[in-house]
Amino acid sequence: MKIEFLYPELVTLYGENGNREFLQKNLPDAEFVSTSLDMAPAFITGTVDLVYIGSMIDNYFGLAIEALRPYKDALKAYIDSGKVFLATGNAMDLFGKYIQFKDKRVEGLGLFDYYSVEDTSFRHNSWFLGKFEGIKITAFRSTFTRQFGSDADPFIKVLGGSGRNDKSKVEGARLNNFYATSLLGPFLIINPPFAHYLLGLLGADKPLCFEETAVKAYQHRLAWMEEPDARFVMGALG
Amino acid sequence: MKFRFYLALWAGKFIDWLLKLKGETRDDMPGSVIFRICPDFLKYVAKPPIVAAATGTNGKSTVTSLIADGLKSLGYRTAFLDWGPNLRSGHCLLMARSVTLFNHTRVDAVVCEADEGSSPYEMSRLQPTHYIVCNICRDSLRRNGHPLYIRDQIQDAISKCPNTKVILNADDPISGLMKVTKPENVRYFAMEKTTDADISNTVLHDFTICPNCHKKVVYQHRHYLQMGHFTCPGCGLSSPVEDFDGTYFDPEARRLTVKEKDGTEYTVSIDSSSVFNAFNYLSVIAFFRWIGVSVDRLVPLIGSLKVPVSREEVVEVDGIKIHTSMCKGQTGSSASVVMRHLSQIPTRKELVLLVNEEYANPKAHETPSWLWDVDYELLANDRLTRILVGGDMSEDYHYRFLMAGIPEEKIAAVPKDSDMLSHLTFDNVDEIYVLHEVDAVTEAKHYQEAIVQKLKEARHEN
Repeated sequence: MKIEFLYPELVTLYGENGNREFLQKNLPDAEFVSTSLDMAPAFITGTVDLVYIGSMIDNYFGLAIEALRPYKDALKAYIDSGKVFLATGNAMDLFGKYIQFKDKRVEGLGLFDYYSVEDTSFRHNSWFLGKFEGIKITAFRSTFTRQFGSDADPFIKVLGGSGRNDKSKVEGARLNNFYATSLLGPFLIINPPFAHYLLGLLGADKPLCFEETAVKAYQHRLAWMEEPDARFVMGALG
Repeated sequence: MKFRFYLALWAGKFIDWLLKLKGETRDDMPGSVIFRICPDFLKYVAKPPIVAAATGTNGKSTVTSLIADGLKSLGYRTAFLDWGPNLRSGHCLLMARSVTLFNHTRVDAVVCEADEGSSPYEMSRLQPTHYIVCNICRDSLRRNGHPLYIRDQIQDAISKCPNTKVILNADDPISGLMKVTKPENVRYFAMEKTTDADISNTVLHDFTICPNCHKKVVYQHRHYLQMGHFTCPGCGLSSPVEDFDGTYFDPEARRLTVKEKDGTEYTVSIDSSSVFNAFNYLSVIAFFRWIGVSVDRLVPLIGSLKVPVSREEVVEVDGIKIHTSMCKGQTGSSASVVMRHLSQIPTRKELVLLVNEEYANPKAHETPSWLWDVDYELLANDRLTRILVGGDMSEDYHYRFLMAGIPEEKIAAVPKDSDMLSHLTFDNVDEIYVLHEVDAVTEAKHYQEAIVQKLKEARHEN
């Protein structure tokens, strides 16, 4: 099994290395490759089973998009083949139609019909509870960008908190086994049931490392989120 | 505007006077009232000859405290709020206290700590004479987003203060590369290589690519985090040349040798063994030299300055040292610096973590992602005998520690902080560290006292 981490020199934020750490610990026999901006992605060879990309500094969206753009057709072929791709945090913004900054617009990879808007005057912070194929998803969002324009191809149904934008009832985007979510966590770590689902897609589902502790933390979070008066909106400090 | 300004000043002073009568001198509410009445108060208030502001992610409280104490020692009448208010209400209160009822300054210097995010608004009005940027690292993702967002805020502030003398950290590629309008208005400080340890073994990588050509940068040396000297193999960009170079730091003797650009060299004693604080001292030295303090006066002055006691305190019982030490929560950079520092101390330790957000906001459910930005892996060795944590997120910590390689038997994760101490063992331990959040200074002191008591009882029973 081969796992590809895209652009580790950019994907350094918001604890997202936890997702990589999780995959490495739970797939000890897999081969892991890291692809830098100046390299061709490994997924174009057809030998990769999972691609992961996470959050980056907003200023670098354009770098990641331009690095991937030459391989857009290969990426579509990869997704059409049913291979697994996971994008977390603001990496979701790379795959929409465009990203609107205050003073410029960056064309996205156009896999989905949403577009993103960055607003640095307001940082959106909120908890999230949702459902995907019967799995309860707990996570949070902390971002300058939100997605607008279309709610097509959703990944998660919103149960608490907000979705792609404050009015949307869906979160993330899904196409075959391509999953993009603007949520943070790290997503795989704080959602053991979804982690099982993802590892199952790879044919590698088994007890997770330190599963008992991970599940306790997940259940604690789920319990307060399912209380009737659960507060999903967060400020900068609380 | 004049009417609004004086109304604000007088209202603020009156409320401040009332609060002082009640013994409440550490409340920035008068400043909040001042700002509401006159949002441009900082622009119109009279300024003394020296207005020194320090900003950046980590170190600004220490730096401002050292500068204020140093100025007082030199005989400057100095206004400074030593309890760390770094937003507009604190700045308004500080400035109101520094002037008379008729807006005549009654001090020689004002020293203030400046929050990074609100710097453009406040610094553009305050127009400090000296502006020190300690560093820019990742901070709370919810408050500060990412480091380049903060850099842009501080850069904006600098651009709006064209006559301000700016002191930058040449060893921080994020803040050190900021632009200052007039070249004569910037001084840089840096340190020569301070460690042979591999600093790349961190989960934090905030400066990986060249801001010009986006090639991966190469470090010649790193002290911690991204602090170090870099070059870009693509376009040749490199760290700025320093004016104040810490050529040798002896952490055990707590002595720092400084070489200035013109070759002047001297050694000072500092009140800390950490490289992080050596950087803070260097920025303070740069400030005092820039206001004209001679080396003869500087060396004893620096030797007399103390790091604020709320940051580091230690008591000893029966050969075991019990420390309280600040370790900001919600941000991986500050906590990682602490973990690296602890990992380099060759003693056996028990750690008590009081870093929950509930100290700042009891109703909050904390977000766990920042735990994955902390280098807990550095603690996974025989010198860690026990690590204790409590609170709403205790199982998230527990899982993070396990993934970092800390054995289950060394971890005590309990739902309530107050239950932690029952898990202290005192077995095979030289030191106990109570690592506390900014808002948990008092609680840390209580824990330290409780540990002392428990230790004495344990020793008495034996």
